[in-house]
Amino acid sequence: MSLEQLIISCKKNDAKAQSQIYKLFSSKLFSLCLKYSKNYAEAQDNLQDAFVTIFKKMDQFSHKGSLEGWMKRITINTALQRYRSVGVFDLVNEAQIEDVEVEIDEETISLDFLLGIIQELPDRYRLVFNLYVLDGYSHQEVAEMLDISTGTSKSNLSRARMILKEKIEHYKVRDNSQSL
Amino acid sequence: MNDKKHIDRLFQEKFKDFEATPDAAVWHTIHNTLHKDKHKRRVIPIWWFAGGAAALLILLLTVGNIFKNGEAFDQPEPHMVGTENNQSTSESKENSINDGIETLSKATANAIADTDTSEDTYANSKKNTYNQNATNTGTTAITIADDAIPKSNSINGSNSKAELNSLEKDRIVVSNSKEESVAKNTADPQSYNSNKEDFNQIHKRAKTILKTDKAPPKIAKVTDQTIANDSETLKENKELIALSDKGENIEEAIAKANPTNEEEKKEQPNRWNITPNVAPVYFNSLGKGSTIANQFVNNNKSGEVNMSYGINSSYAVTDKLKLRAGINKVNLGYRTDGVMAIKDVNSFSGNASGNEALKNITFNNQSKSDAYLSTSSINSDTAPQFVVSNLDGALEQQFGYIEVPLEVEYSIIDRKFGFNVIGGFSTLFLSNNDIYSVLDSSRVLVGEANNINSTSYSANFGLGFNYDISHALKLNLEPMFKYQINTFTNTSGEFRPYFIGVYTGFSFKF
Repeated sequence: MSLEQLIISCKKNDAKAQSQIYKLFSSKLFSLCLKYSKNYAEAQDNLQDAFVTIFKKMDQFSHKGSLEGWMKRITINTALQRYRSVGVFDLVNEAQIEDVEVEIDEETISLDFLLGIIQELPDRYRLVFNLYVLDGYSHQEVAEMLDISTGTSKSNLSRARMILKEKIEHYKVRDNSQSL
Repeated sequence: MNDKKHIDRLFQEKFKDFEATPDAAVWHTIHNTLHKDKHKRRVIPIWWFAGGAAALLILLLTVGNIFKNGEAFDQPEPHMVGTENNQSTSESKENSINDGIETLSKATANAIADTDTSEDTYANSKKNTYNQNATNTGTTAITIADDAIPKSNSINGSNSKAELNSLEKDRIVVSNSKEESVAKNTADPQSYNSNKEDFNQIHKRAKTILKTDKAPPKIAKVTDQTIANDSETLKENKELIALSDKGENIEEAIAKANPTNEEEKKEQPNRWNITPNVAPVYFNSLGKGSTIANQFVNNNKSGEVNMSYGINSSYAVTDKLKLRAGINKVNLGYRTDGVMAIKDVNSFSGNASGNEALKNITFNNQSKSDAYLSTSSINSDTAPQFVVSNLDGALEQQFGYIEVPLEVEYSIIDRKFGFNVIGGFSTLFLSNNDIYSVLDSSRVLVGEANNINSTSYSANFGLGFNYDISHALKLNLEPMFKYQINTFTNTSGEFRPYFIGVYTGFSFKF
C-alpha cells in the first residue's frame, strides 16, 4: 500500500493503516521525543500523545508538506505543550548573556551520553537547544513557540551550550583518568 | 591533535540519523485510545463470560449439593420401604384376586364344558383364592374351594360377570348336549339375578363333578404345597411391616436395609465454608510511574496501608481443592512526595492555567486555580527562597473498591495445622476516588482522578495457613499478592499497581 493510500485509510480510522504508519515513523518520532523529554518514560508518553493527536487530526493533513514534517511538528508541539503550563513559573535567572562560541575537541562520544546530557538540561534550555540546534528553528520561531523573547531564547541557548560543554569535558577527564 | 569543533555541529552530526524504537506497549496504548469503544466491547464480555461461567459453576455445585443431601435424607426413610412393600403386596393381592376371578370363571366354564380339564384349573383357582384370603387355613381342597368361590363371586364386579357371560356364550355356541339347560338360562343375559343364579348353578355343577371325580387327592397335594409357600411369603411381609411400625428401630432398619449408606455419610465431610475476613492492605506500584502526571514520574512515592474486610465462602470440590468466592471492601492509596502546591495560580500569570498538565485530575471548584508542580523540575539553587521552603508537600491519591474474588485453593498440608496455595482473580468495582493535597499536617481535598476505570481486575496469588480450633472452626492467615489489571488509563511512566494483604479470619464449616 502506498503512503497516499495509507493516509486515506487512516482518515477513516482504519486500525491496520494506523499500524503501518506507526511502524514507518515511530522510531524517527521517538528519537525526537527522547531529545525533548527529561527521560525515557516521558518520551514514551510524549510519543503516545503525539500519535493519538496525529491519527485524530489526520483528516486535517492537507498534503502541502511531507507527512513526516507534519508529524514532526505535531510531536514537537506535544512536547512543548507539556512545558508550556510549567513555563509560567520563570524560576531561572533570566539575566541575559552574550552568545559565545563554544568549541570542543571532537572525540568519539557516545550518542547515549549526548542524549543523556540533553535530557539533564533544565526544561527551557533543553527545548531551546533542541529547537534551534537540532531542528533548525530560528530564534524568532523559538521565541514564538515558547512564548518568550528572542533575547531569552538566545540567552537560554548560550547557557545550554555552556552546560553541555562542561559536561562533555568533565566526561572526557573522567574517561581519560579511567583509561590511564 | 583533534579538530576544534563547534558544539552545535557535534550534536547535529550525531543526531542526524538518530532513531530509537519505542516499547511495543506504546502502540497498544495508542491503538486502545483510538479504538476505545470497540476495545471495550470486545474485552469486557470475555470477563463477564468468565465471571458468569464461574457463578454458574458455583450455583450448580450449590444446587447439586442440596439435592444430594436431600437424597441422603430420603433414602433411609423406613416408611417408604414398608409402604412400597405393602403397596406391592396389596397390588399383587388385587391382581391375584382379579386373576383368580378370571381364571375361576374360566375354570368353571371349562369345568362345565369339559370335566377332564377341571383338575388343573381348579388347582389354579385355589392358589389364587389363597392369596386373596391370606388368613384362611383350610384343610381340604374342597372346603377351600367352597369358601373361595362365593367370595370371588361377591367381589366379582359386573365386568367379570360380563366376561363370564361372553365366555358362556362362546361355550353355548360350541355347546354340549349336557348343558342345554344352562345354555337356555344364559341366553337371557338382561336379568342380573338370573345371571347370578346361573353362575351359582354352574359352580354347583362343577363341584359335583369334582366330587364325583377321582381327582381330589391330587388336588389336595398341590394346594398344600401352595399354602405352605404362601404362608412363608406372608411371614416375610409381616416381619417387614412389623419393623417399619416400630419407630425406635428405624435406624436399625435403615442400617439393615442399606448397610452402605452410613459409611458413605461418614466419608462425606462438610463441604461448605464461610469466612469473614479482615486484612491490612498495602498498595504500591512495580516500576516507576505516576497515575497523576508525567512530571511526577520520578518523584518519591510511598504506598499506604489501608484496610480490607469482607466475607468469603468456599466449596470443597475434592479433599484437596476448594473453590471460593466472596465480596470484600478494599481501600487503597499512595502518596507522591515532592509536590509543591501553588494557590491561585492565575494571580501569578494570566496566560495559562497551571493545571493543564494535570489532565488526569478532575478538580473541584475550590482547587481549580491551584497548581501542583513536581519539585524535581525546580532547580533549588536558582529558585527563589519562598519556593524552596515550600518543597515538602505531597499529593495523596485514595481509591476504594468493592472486590469480588474468585479463587482456587489447593491444600498441601491438611492436618491440625494446614497449608495451601491460592490463585485466582478478582473483579474490582470502583467505589471511591479522591485526591488530596498534603502540606505539613493539613490535608485538602483537591478533586478526583478521572483515569481510574470503574471496573478493573486483579490476578491473585497467595499462601494460606490455617489452624483447626475445632472440627467446624478454623483460624486462617492468608498473605495475598494481587496484581492489578486495567486499573488506570493514561498513566505516565511504568505504573503497574499491586496490593498486598494479609487476610485473617475464622472459617466456619457447615
